[in-house]
Amino acid sequence: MLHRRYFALATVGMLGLFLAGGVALARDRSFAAVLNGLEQDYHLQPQAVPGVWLAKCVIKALPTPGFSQFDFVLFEEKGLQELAAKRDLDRQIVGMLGSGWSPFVQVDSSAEKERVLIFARPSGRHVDLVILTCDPDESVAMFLRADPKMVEDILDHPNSPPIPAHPEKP
Amino acid sequence: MFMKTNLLNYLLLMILTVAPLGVRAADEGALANLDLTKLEKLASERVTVSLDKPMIEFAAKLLPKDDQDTQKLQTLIKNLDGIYVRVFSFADQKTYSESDVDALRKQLGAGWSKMVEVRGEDNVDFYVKRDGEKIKGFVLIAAEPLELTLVNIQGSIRPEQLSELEGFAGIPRGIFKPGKEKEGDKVPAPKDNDNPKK
Repeated sequence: MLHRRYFALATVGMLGLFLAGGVALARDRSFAAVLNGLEQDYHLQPQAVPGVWLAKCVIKALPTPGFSQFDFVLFEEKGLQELAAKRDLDRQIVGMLGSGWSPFVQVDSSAEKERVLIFARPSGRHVDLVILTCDPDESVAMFLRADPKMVEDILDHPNSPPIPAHPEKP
Repeated sequence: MFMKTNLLNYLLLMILTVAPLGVRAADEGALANLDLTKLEKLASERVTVSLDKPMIEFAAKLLPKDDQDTQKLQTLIKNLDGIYVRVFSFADQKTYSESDVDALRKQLGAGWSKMVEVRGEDNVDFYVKRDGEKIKGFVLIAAEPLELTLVNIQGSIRPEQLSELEGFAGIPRGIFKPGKEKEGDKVPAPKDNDNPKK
């Protein structure tokens, strides 16, 4: 009888983990649209980063200061220069993201050859952010469901947005 | 049947024609349509902060609720439609010239009138756009030797309320108090036709 109860609890627990994992791994539709757009228009190929799914599940399950959902993709070097040089990239990406999104912060550094674009969409008490960073060596696209505090930090220091560190290229 | 199809075609045509115009009209409002291409090329770093109405409303939620100043600020920003800040940083002092800033000032054509002009080590020009009695927006051009800042505030706000927005949404602190500049700065009286009606 006791074994049956443990078995039922374990099954429910596994199901819960599976569902939580599914939610954590599900890609935001707008973010997916940007990734598809970048892939099609700039021939960027996303790189597989081992262990990303685990990081996403952990962030979903455990409270992380600043944000509650996280997704990111690394792109290989091919096509990055074209992307970094595109003048109206912000408008193009807003078009890919769809309604509700707007350009929030953009930093272009000619000296560092670096470009950061942040797009935002208010989502209840949170704000969804899509962040694209480009430099000659790598490009990272991120999706964050950020706390208001993070938005405040970005507004306080727009030229050094508090972007979470991403894993290094494998 | 024929009429219904025609009506649907007409509606479709209207949507296809008008919808992109609507998008363009919204986009064009930011920074009063200034052509910043030359400055973009000259600057070593460019920072753009854009807050449209939904983002302003969201940013308003970040303000502490139990503060009297905050309540004033929240009432103030309810009337705003957009805040756009652009900062150009330059590698050295001769990268951009006064003529580049003049070109910007000239672009602010019909509808914009200069309200404040400060000349000194830093040059500040402050423009207002009106629709009759109603204020529609402000543009501030602050030129420092190594930095050029443009602030565009859209919406209904009185000039004396602007300083309350400092520090909000990336607006640099002290930027709306040009009178408190260093000694030697010249603050000419605004022209009669540019003066806000009290």
